[in-house]
Amino acid sequence: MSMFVSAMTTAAVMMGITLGFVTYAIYAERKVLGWMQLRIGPNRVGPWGLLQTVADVLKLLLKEDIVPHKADRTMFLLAPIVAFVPSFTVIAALPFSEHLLLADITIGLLYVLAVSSISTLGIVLGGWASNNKYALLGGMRAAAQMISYEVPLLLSVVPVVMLAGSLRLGDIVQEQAGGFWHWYIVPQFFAFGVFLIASVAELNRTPFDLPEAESELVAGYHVEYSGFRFAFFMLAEYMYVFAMAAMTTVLFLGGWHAPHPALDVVPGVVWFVLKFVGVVFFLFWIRATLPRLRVDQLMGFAWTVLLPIALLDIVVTAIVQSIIR
Amino acid sequence: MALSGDFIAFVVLASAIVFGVLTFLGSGVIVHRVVALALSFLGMAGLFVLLGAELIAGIQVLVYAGAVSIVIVFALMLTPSHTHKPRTPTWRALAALVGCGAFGGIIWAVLLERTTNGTPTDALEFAVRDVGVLLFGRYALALEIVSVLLTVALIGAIVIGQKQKGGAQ
Repeated sequence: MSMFVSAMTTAAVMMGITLGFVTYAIYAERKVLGWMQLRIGPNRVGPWGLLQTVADVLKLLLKEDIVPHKADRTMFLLAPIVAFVPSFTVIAALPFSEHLLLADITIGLLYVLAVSSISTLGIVLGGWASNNKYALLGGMRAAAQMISYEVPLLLSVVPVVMLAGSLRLGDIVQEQAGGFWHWYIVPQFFAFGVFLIASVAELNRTPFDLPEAESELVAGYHVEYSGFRFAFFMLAEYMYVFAMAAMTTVLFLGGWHAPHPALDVVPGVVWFVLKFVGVVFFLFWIRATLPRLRVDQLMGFAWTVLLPIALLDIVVTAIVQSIIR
Repeated sequence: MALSGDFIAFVVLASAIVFGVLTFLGSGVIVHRVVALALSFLGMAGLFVLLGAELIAGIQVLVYAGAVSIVIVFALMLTPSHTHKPRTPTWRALAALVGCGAFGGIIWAVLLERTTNGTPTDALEFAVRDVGVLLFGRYALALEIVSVLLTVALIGAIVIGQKQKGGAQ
């Protein structure tokens, strides 16, 4: 029983941390986008606009919870939960430092990728249950896109698993110890590129934000959602930003390891957070820089560019590994 | 059996599977059916975790539960838009009942056999690495044959699908 209580407490603490992250990731995103577009960004609520997201969330919570008359009520209510729960479940397996890790799963990498694939169901379901053509189109696009990009995403982590010899995320980080030249971004730069692009596509973020392209689909799959349920979809999206940035850090950027052994005095969590923030900033940066792709470009890119690179990377890694051994 | 955490988890997961399957069979809306299918797949993954087969659980989620969204897309594109509940004749329901009974009996017999002879804890010490070594070492040929079989089945499905399309025209 005490184990159950402590598990619930850790989960609650983690929920607090991730909610804090989501709150300030949205603020940071708006600020960064503002600066890149020569605007100031939010600056009214609280000092430097720091409470802007808090105000936005409060507004969302106070809004009327609308279920459209013609919607499929059960599925409409279920969809945001199906989208959100996996996004939070994924976070349990992420190792933030040598000791700061909630669940040490032997198949950690597989777990993260498998569980995160369930969220697609929530998005498709939400789009269908809304009984709205824009929502359905957005849901269909989400299904097509997330399934196409899951293939290169999965294949791009295979070379990392081959090098590390383990699916446990902690072991993968441990293998990258001893300076930045041991990080997998160096030997596996192409895998890193494929992973980064595919993860942006999995996150449905610009330039891959076709499922919620506001200028063509109004808002895509969540157009009929309001208030708290809309907040759930948004929360799931930013939770995945958290999870994907952490995964990039763990798989390719050496996790909690310092760039040089001499810098090991700084605690691992600090390094993890620094790299993590770097990846998150990169996501904001490309959002401000790149325009949205067209549907035909999107699918072609996944199957004819990313997939061959990922496959080739696996073969080359296997050959090099068998030569070295 | 004592009221341990494992037992409670088993009951919850098993009832999720049964509920999912019953909804899958009974619901008239095809999307509801697919979601129920996802529920039972996830329940099965949970059972695999309880048995210590984490790798199989992960693959179960990735391959089956994760792909349910594709099933929804196909279900929406390939079925008529109006919702209808197929009426089952009584004799078919009876036959299904008999079939389920026979299957349950066989499983029951197998379980009785296993619990007296085998030790269920064997699976716990089975690491992912061992699975990989066995799969690509001793059973590499079987694995390749299965992959060829799957490819053949895939191509066959496409061919059959195209034939039916041509026949309709």
